[in-house]
Amino acid sequence: MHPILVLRFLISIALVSVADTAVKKRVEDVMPIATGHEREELESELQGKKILEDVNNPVGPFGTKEAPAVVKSYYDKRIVGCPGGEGEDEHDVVWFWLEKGKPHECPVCSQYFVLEVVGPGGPPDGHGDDDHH
Amino acid sequence: MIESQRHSYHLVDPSPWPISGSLGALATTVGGVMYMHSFQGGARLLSLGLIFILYTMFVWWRDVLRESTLEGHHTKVVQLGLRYGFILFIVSEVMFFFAFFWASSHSSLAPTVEIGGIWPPKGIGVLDPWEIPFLNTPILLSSGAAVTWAHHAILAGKEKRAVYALVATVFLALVFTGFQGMEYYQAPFTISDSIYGSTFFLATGFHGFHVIIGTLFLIICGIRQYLGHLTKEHHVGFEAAAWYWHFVDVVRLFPFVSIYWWGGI
Repeated sequence: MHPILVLRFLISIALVSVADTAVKKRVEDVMPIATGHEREELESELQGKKILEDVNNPVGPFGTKEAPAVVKSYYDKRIVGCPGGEGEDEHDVVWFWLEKGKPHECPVCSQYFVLEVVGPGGPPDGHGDDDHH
Repeated sequence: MIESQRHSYHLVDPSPWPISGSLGALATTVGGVMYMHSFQGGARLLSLGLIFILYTMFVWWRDVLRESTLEGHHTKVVQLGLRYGFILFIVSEVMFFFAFFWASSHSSLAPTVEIGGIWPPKGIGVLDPWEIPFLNTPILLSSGAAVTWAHHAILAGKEKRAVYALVATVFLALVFTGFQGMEYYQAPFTISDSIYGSTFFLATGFHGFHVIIGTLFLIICGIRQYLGHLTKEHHVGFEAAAWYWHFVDVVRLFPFVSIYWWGGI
């Protein structure tokens, strides 16, 4: 290879790596002493992980049979509350168990829900899960 | 949201401190009653109970600091809960002081015949509000300014400067307490000298006690700042201490205006 081309190649690699480190902020840059769950939280925040937020606060357009409201869950079932539609169509929250493979239709407003398992699945009662809380 | 535990909350481990604190409180109240009724061993039980409570406070808070700084249990949502809890605590403290100022105003706005129908009561020589009381008020307010200086230093990541600011805050707090002690020592009336002495020492005494608590809180913050526990992203302990200190600051204005100044003319 022509020496100037080699030089160009090396410069481009150097530029890319510089850009890389400038974009990716690590937990150490934000809060050097962070540890444990606090560190995990900061790390996922820096990586822009959104999936966990969706699990915590499922919101979205009114679910219908054709386009159901998808609720994410770590296990094969979870408790969900239906607040009804927007404005006039709102109703008191109705709570129910939403199970994998068993869509639920709200008895008040007929909103349609399905469960999407994003975690390990299985029963959510935590048997044999005592070591970490 | 924490992936390894699937939620952001801190489920605390079993701890011996709630029961040790309760036993300390039991010994303190029983010992206190025994002491006040001259029972044998009353003073001993009271002291034992107080030592037990102080020990429990120390180790419990030590555990909280370990959980937050060394184990990382204080996630964003845990920090939020701590802030809410502390604000509610301060609200309850406001109500506590409100009662003393109510008592003072109740007794001074319509003085009864027993105290001569005048305020300050007949025969009570009061303190000059423009001497130590007037000097001490800006000292405490300056201390409040210094704690704001410390807060800005923490937010700017100036670690050393934050320690200096906290040293200044605590220094002014100690000067305040020193002057307050001098004032008590020289006061021409006691807590048992009419409703004036009772309300005066109840309000200013509890305020002084809160100044001492706030000073200890700020000293702990200063030590933690020196050790590098407080970062610009996470310093809930300092925030709580600063809020508490501002509360103590504001409460000072009420006794100064209504008890020392208005009540002393």
